[in-house]
Amino acid sequence: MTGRSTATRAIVCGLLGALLLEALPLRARADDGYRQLELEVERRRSGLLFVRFDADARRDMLVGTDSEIRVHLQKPDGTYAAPLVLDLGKDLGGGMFDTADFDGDKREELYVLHATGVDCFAFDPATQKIVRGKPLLEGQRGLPYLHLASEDFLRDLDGDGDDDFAFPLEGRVHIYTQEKGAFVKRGQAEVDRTQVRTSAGERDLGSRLQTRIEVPRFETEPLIDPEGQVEVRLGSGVLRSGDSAALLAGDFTLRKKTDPLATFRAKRGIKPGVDGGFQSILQDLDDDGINDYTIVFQNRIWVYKGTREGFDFDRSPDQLLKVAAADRLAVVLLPLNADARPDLILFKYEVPSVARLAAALAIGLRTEIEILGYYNDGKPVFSRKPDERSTFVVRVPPILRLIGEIEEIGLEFQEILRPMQSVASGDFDGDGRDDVLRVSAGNLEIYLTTEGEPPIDLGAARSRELLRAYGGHELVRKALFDRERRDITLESSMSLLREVIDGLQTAIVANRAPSLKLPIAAATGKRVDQILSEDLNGDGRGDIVVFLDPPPREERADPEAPIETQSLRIWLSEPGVDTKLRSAASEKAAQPGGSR
Amino acid sequence: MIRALLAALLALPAGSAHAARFESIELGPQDVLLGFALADLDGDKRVDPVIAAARKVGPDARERFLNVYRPAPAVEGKPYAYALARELRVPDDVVAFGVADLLGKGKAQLVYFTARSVFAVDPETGTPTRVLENERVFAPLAAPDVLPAWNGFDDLDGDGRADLLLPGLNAYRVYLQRQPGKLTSAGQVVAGSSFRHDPATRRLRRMRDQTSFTTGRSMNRLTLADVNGDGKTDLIGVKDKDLLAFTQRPDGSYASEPSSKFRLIGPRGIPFEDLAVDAVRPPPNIESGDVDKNGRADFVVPEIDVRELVMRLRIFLASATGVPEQPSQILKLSSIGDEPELIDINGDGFLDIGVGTVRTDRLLSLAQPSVKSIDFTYYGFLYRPSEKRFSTRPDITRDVSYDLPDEKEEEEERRRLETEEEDDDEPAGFLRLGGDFDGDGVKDLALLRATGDLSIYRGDAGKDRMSPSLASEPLLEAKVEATNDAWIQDLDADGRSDFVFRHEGSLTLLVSRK
Repeated sequence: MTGRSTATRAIVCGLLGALLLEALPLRARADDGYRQLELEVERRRSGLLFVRFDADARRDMLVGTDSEIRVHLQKPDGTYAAPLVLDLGKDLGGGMFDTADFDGDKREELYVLHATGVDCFAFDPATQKIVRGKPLLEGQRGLPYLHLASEDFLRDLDGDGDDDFAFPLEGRVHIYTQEKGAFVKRGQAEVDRTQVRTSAGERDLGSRLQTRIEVPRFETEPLIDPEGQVEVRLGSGVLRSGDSAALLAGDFTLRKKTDPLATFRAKRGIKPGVDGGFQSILQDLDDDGINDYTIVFQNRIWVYKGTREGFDFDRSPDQLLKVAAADRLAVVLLPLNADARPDLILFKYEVPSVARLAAALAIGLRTEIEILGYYNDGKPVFSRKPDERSTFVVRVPPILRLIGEIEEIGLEFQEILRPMQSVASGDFDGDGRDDVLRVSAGNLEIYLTTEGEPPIDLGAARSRELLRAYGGHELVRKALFDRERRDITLESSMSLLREVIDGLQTAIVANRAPSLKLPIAAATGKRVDQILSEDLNGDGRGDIVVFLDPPPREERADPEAPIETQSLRIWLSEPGVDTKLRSAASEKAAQPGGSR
Repeated sequence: MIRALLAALLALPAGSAHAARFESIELGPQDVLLGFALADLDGDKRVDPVIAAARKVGPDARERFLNVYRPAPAVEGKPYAYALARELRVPDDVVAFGVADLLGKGKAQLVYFTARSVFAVDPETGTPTRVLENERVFAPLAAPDVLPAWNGFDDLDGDGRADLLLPGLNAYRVYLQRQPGKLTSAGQVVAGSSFRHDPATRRLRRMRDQTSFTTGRSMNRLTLADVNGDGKTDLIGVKDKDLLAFTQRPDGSYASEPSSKFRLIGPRGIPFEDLAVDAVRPPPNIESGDVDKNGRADFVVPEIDVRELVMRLRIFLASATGVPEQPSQILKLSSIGDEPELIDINGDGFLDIGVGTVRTDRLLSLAQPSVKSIDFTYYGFLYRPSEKRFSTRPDITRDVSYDLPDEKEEEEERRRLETEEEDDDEPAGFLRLGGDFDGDGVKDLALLRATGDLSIYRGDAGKDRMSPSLASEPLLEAKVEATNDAWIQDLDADGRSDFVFRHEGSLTLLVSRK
């Protein structure tokens, strides 16, 4: 919480701590084996982590503000204690924070990367306080940070399985790797310069003073080459614009990374910055495990198949499709049939002129989007002529009217999308395999992965593989090519979106019945923003943490008051749930043919 | 790309009682214009522009410097001109600059801010004197493309010496110059502030840029006002929907907690608030001033109602009991604008309200094919001292139309953009009543179109000063490069307002002359 005096900060921390203690009605439910907790945490926070900070197996909660880390230790009964506060504002100013257990004592420490080094803070069981440990790095002249921020900066950079870190300086990073319990500088790389933006504003009540510092992220993918040498490649977004990364000194070998499409663009006179409408998709088209390029520009689509040696844009493309002239083209690759290969879907549309948009303020707008589907038949790549065709006639009501209702419309779209936010994967029965949880019809429904059934992988469920695995091509065809002409109004687009999401929901749970249902208040279920699964109490089973949106205005005590906190609901597994979920899983496995 | 500025001026017919003209002066061009300040450095009451600029000295290296300009001695018949008085190299660790007399020498110096210190620099010799150290300043790193000018210098305690409102990372620190050249801490205050926090919703987390780690802070600006009528300068700022007032204590210091808080923004007064709960919104352009001359600051709050597409000006007139809970008056306009001006339109010594708006009530006419323009209107409302309120209907109205491009013009523009680098310019233009360009004490209307045509329409207050009007023909005209970065100020202390336009590499001054 910015801008408060020390005294006020202490009072606020105390209040929050009190909130945490008092707003925790423990609802023991012996029938379903979960205990429910309610928490309020800072809404404007720099991070929220569940880590093992003290000596027990329970995950404690770290909440970061702009200048403080508040550690709430989890008590044996599952509730969270009042926070231990680490005020880093005066000392460090700001920095990235992350956690790791480097000393092997089965307790994670807190590490803060700031302008002059990396400091360590750990929980001391003897004093029950957070104490400063030996820094990983000090005496540096790094970059200033304006506040604390949670950042995954402790990562394996050299491929040996332990955490290392890259310390950012101006225009470069120093790479420190963990070796025999110590951190050793093993190289440095040149990166993009830090972007700084500052504005003092005018001296009036409508102005703000703003400062922003953007530090390029150093992303790596360590590889061991055939000679056993570690090769570090920089990911996107961290190179000096126009150049590749260059190793300045150290033990790493850096492969130069260039714009993969530079040759393609140069050959066709497509200049970066004036390439409006240029689109490229890197995806495996022929199921050979190597990504291929589908490139769109103006009214042409090029397909270049990838090889183990990379791409050769000097040769003729594997396919060149010419499309009848259209103002704009957009392409997506989605399955249209049951084979394993993605198909090409082309959207052709016109961009309305300024005058038409101005008129749309008063009379609305009607525009058409032509959609063409080309099967991936391998001859040579996509069909030469469209296999599917439809037209969406988009009707926008008078924008002046729409503006007045935009809040209601936006909230309605949020509600339609909410089921996709109300899904999570986690190992809820402790068998080592991910299961699925979703909020549906007043319940948290848990779907177990059991023997004999295809695994439910929510990570895949969010990607194209879901559509392929669960017949998603039918969903795509229904959404896009069900009718030759489809009127798209606000109402019909909401309806279409609902259908699509219902279809995805069904696909996610693969038509199975839930193994367990935990009741959730209807009003709460409508506020779910995200669900996280973490084993908070160390019993080997995922517990459920639900993050909620604020309540609707009409349900707030003071609708005009700013919203300072975010509500969390936690379901902690108890021993009883083990029996319940496992017996449910066993029953299913015992049924002939399974339940799919 | 340095664009040429055309300085033109059509003189009014000889013999006109309101003859006026602009003289155009370009300061620059520079490789990169980093910032500027307009202040009187030598005590002659005329503005001495200070320009911060950068010059390339290598493929990847730039040198920064401050150019101090002074008006050249006026010569009858010769145009107004500025001469470069001094060029000072700016150290690499300077993050902002300013102009104020922090050394108590009776004349202003240049002020440098580094990440941890404040220096006053003699503009003649360039010699720096450290006036503050070990203070975290709001910008810990110098930005390559901007050197902002900080103007938080005022005589807060009324002792005739400049004091400093120093912006830190999360609060403003008040420093009083109780003795010449010595700054003493007098408290710290902050109104609304925010930092770049972790998005609370999953949707916003997904939208975050993955290629860089970003850290950022913002603080709402504070302004000066006398809130409690004790004759001392108080500090005011906006936080969420409230105005916070930090009254000056008898010893000149300020408490960190506001002494009072006033809810100025009405229920549902922030558009789309429920849709974007976590949005960090800039405060509305609330104007403050002592309208009724009772020694207490009053406030005008613009409020846009997106449901009705109207605008309300909520006016709060303070009294001995403070700022009222409910507005003293609400002016409703069937059009939308968000930057009201609290200015003495008619020269009667009382502050009036002016606002430029988009005529949302006329947008429905765009349904007719024959209508190809969007209308704007400037409204002025006079304060009526006898009634202790503002006029309920506008006393001044001026309509302006913007013609929409036809399809052919738009296609040509699109083709041009396809072959040239992306044009980052925002559409520019304004309607303002904040200047008196002929020195008669009555505000004149300034209209800048997107084409760069600047026109000044003379304001007249009428015999009783309560019947204002605007001339139909322009008093002054000029062709400038259209930009919204424009300021109105009397540069040459002749009682006539002038213009300052900021462009990519230069400043253009339009000095109004007889």
